[in-house]
Amino acid sequence: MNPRIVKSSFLAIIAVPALVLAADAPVSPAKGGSALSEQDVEVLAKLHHDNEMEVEMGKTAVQNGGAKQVKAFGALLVKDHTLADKQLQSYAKRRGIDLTPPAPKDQVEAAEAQAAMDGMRRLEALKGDVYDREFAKLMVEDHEKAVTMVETTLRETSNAKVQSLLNKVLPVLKDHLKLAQQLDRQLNDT
Amino acid sequence: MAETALRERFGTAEEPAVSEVIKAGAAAGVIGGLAMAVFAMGATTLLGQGPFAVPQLIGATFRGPEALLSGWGVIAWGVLLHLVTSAAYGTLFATLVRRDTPRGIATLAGVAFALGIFVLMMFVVVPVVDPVMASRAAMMVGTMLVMHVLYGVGLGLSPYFRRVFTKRPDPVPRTPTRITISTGVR
Repeated sequence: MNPRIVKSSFLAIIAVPALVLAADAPVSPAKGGSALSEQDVEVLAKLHHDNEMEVEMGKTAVQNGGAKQVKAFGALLVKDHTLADKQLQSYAKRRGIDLTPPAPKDQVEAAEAQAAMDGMRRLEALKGDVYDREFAKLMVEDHEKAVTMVETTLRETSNAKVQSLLNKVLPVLKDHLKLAQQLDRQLNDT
Repeated sequence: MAETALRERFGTAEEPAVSEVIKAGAAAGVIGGLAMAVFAMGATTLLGQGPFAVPQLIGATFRGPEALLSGWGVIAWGVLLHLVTSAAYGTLFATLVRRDTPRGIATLAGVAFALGIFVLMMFVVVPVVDPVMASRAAMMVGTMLVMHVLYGVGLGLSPYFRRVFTKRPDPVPRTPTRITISTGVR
């Protein structure tokens, strides 16, 4: 075989993976607007916010949790939501989408957002068994809401990329919901 | 001609090359599998998943998301499953190459074979046997692809290992023989 061809092939073997690996990494922002609907952008911003919240909750669970399962679930939340958020941020940067969460539209939304923050702060002050029980309950509620939001958006959006992103996130959220329900049964039914 | 080629590839009835192919394929497959593992440890750490994310996800095979809350047992099971699968596909690849296949061609063939495995595993096998891994792997496609390219490079060692494990003398010289022509003039 021609040594030049072999050399080029080896270079290709080295170069292609480098390019592909870069595909998993966040990209620099691209110029140009977004053809997404306002609702799509809102959902992406909400998902980004949820990811950040879940990462924080996961870190707190590792620190404050009493049961081994709660700490392990906390670590899983950190990993999965970090990965999901990298995908989301990468897409948002490419499309020039601002992921700042929108301000609450009405008083009901504002009250819900405030209740979520209060719940998180209250949880952060707890430790051990009490923390575990409250955490499990909150995780079930949070993930039920998240699954419903993603499923609703999947039905309503016509943007293929948003559908693809949400289809990647949905099974992970369902796994979390299943695990949170199991934890809740173990900790709160006894 | 064809008979010679078949003999060269698979051995003869008296001297089957089955054990040679299995040993060589398993060795090349395990080396490729280890290369995948080393790369995965670095890449998943950079992605915030920790060094043992991939074996843990593989360990979730047939078990569901509960496996992600387990510790070292699942990781060990995942490593074992990964290496056994690597050796099995390596053995399959070793049946496709000859002992004298040049290294460059064997490597390219290995990479092509590994990319085929990547498609098969990512889109057919893993979603069925390990949906927990499938959903996370979908968010790390680039990493998974590079891992399989490295596996293919490892598979490229199959002809070398076939020569190492064969009991028969190598029929093809590996390096060009220098020919000295004597002119008879001193």
